[in-house]
Amino acid sequence: MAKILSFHSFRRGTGKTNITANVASLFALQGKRVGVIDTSMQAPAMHILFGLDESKIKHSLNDYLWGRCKLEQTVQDVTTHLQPGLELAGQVFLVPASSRLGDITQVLRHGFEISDLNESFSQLITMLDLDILFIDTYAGLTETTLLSIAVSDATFIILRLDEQSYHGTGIMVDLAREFNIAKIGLILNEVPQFFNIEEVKAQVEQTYKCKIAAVFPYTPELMALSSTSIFALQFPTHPLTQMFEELVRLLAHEM
Amino acid sequence: MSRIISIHSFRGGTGKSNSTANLSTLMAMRGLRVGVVDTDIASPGIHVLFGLSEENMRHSLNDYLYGKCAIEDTAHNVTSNLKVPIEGEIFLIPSSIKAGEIARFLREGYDVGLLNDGFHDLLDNLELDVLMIDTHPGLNEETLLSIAISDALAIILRPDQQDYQGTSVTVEVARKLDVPRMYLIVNKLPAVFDPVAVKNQVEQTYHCDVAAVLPHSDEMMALMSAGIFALHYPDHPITKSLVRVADLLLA
Repeated sequence: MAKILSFHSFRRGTGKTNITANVASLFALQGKRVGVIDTSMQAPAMHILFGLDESKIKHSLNDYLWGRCKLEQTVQDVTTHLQPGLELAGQVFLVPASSRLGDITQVLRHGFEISDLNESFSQLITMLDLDILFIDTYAGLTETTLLSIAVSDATFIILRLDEQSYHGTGIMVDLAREFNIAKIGLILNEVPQFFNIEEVKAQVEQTYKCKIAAVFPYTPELMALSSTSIFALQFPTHPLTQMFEELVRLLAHEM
Repeated sequence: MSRIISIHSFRGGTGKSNSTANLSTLMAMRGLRVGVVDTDIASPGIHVLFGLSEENMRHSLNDYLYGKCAIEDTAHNVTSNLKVPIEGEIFLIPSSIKAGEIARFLREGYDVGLLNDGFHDLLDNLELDVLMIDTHPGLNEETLLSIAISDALAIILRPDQQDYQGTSVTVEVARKLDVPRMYLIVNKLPAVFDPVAVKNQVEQTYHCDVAAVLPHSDEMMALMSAGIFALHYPDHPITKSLVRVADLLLA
């Protein structure tokens, strides 16, 4: 039975897209058929991580939601783009969002039918015979956030340790709980390396009364990659990759 | 004086609010009366840097935009929150952090023309030397307006693929809107990158002056937006860079 995992954050620049892309790629490395849908239409980025040039995106999620094309036309098999020369046992399919300024403006002004987005999730799972569907969302509390939380088997809220995140993340956690989601996990990202991870974890768990799914330290090598490729595939033995793999194990176990 | 300066970025998470707060503080330390408007209604955050809590937020920008009060009523004098003697004054016009009010904005939007009126009323009524606008990331009506009425604009980006394309579009649009002075600020530069090389590359790519290349800083990260970096670390290279940026923006 296919699973849906959604990734959220209250603030922007938390590393959500990088994390989603890395986890999805590791599942594919293990032989899973993975779908990734970039619902962050206000600021699309997933295609960048998967090395898909804008010019190659003939049909985007936007086009589907505005009735300009069929859902299958938006799907791109990005498996071979992930790491040149790397054979993956599974597959990664991406439904990208449009980077065209006009499309972004249109989303901001006119939105889209949320029910169409909802339908696309199950359609993708069936159409592509997926094991897992990853939903990457735009930061903040939007209709899409609520929808994704509602349909997910597990939902992850990513945050950096920053006062600006504190209040809003709390709201998101409370909201996710109201949807009675069986599995909500916080992912702490870009934690300063000199911080005591266990202490931080305990403190954050206490503050939000929510389980911590993973704690990732600030990693200069990942920052230096500048979103040009998938870290876990580029640096398979790096401690951070081992942490990604731990998260993958945690998710696989719970599923 | 009486100048409007916008701090903008195409993507979020670039350090825009932190930069705006620090630049505003540095300007106030020169004796200027500085207004700071948080127009990032969907994701307000700069109030945290100025130590303004929800309980102390009497009115927000949202109240003004929905006709509940005059713009001056939304101005909070946060100078003393900084706990150091400052020659000038800082007035913060915050955005509401109440989820319901943010949701309302997302649903209904607001009359952008009111923003323009509000900015000019602030300059007059509070006798401001500078009005700093902490904008909403991305290009939309509000950001276009802020850019269009600004005397100077700083566009912040991280040296990341996710920022490059959109920043290019933003620079183009700003040029078309005839902003008198425009600068780029590259922020959160990983330690392995050469700041001089990055400055040259960015200036070449965007045909725009780079006011500063700010490195990733563990101290900044550890501060967690709990306060103003420039006050905590007055001699830090980042603070010195920000002083130069303030010079450029005020020139």
